Amino acid sequence: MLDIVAVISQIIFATSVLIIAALGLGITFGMMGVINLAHGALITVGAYTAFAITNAGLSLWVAFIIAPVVVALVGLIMEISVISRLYDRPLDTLLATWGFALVIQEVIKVIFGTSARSVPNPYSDPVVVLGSSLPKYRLFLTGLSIGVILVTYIGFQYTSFGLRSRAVIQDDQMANMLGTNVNRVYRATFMIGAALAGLAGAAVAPIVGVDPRTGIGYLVQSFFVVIVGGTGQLLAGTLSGSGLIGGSAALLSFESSQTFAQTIVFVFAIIVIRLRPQGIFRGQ
Amino acid sequence: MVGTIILFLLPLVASPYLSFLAAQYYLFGLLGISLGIMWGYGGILSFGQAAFFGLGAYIMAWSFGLSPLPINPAYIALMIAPLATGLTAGLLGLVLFYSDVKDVYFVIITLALSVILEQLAVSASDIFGGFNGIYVPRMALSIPGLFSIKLINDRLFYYVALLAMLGGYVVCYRVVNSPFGERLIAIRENERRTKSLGYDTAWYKTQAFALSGSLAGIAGALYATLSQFVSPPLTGFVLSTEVVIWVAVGGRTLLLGAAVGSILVNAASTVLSSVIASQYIMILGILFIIVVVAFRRGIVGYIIDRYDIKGKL
Repeated sequence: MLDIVAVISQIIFATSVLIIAALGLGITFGMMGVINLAHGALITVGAYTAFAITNAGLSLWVAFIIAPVVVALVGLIMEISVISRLYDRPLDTLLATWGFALVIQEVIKVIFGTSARSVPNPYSDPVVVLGSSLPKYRLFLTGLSIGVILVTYIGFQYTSFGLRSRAVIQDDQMANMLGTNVNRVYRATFMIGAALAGLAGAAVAPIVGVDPRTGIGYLVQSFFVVIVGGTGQLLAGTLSGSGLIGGSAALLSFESSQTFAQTIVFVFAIIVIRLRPQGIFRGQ
Repeated sequence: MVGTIILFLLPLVASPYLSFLAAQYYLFGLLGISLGIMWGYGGILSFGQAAFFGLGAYIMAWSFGLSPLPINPAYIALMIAPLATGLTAGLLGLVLFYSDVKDVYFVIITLALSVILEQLAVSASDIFGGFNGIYVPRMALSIPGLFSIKLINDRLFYYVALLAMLGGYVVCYRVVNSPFGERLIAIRENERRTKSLGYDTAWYKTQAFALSGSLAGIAGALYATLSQFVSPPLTGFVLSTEVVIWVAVGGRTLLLGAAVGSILVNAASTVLSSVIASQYIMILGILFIIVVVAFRRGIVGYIIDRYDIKGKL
């Protein structure tokens, strides 16, 4: 007999982590129609920033501020040097971001070496909920994902930047004619996406450890979240996509190996795409 | 033409090890061609080409693992591998192209396909040999009752690999210069218009993907018996993305670019990785970004444009 609370909390937890990891990807994708293949590498940069900060004796909470800033700057460099030249060529943008992923990964290896590092978990004691004990840090991550969604929602719905970026999503040419600097919106969006990757890296560092390939695993799952969730409704899409992909993988992994669970989820994602292309290809 | 003759004479002067390396590069060249025909002519980028390559390699390994067969096991693998990989690609194409999956979505699905296959190969160790992989003997060339030569000699295998690549090149060259190829190019240029002219574009794309998959399957099967070892990375993420880089660097708009790029980048990696070991991938990444931004037609495309020698090829 499975422990219901454990199962549910595992599903919620997997979903929350995926929300944090995939939201940045979804934002850049929704805005520019481009998958940032360097997203995984940026998550890794965030995780290493968290390692560097905690290693220097500072608290992990400092890393939650610094990591997004550092990674947003990396994103800014990418955007100015290359991505801004490719906005009319989405498939080439995707390739260029993969080039960046390779370069970033190698730079990390040069700076930090290839061996795995660890980041101390600030909440080691469990919390007892309804008779089963849950790791406190995981509860914190669930709260964090809710917070991130709220902030993103408010940012896009109620600020002038949000208004402009929604205008650019709907019709970039018209937005441009009406006086919005589209390139600046793109640049800001790319940085926000990168910052979220940095946050994700810092957030997962204490539970999965830090090595040069930390982010890659989240990359593929995040793709599926974005594809299954669609880009028409960023938050609803990311939420439902994360729930479907993360939740079903977590649920299946109780009964089978993680690989098998992921394979099933992959097949499932293809079926979703086959059956509901219109729901998936909304927007843009 | 002159180049082809030089390639045929190369083993006479090269060491066996160099022949072995060259044979590897040719099989990667064939893999590059299999990507190039999809990407350069159909405008469809597959980021999971290694899935078919690896599947072909495992089929070769499995066929040697079967109890003694009346016929040469390598022949069976070389028949089954393109069938199986072509069929897999075709089925996937049917599902994806008819639901109008394209561009970025297709990239991600194919990428995920190869990631999943790699994970499966690692975890289902009783079938795939897990992390340790499977040993594969060298294949033999044989005609029953007449002769049988086991291709232990790397110089002999060199010719097998070279012929496989040239064969793949000729097949693809004929395909892209046929009416089918013209329709493929039309799809790349403007799919909606091609569709409205009455062509079943999804079906053309499916056929091209099946061809591409089966070529990658043959390349993988031969690679397995050349390197005498198969392991999960042959199906995986890294190789899949590497092929894309080779073809982009060589020149995605030409089959020749795909082949030359694959051979050049691999040769460079052998030479350079011993000199500047760790920075090699970083340099490759930077080169890739530069090619994507500034030289869309790649090295071969650039040379052909620069010296205007298209007519002479």
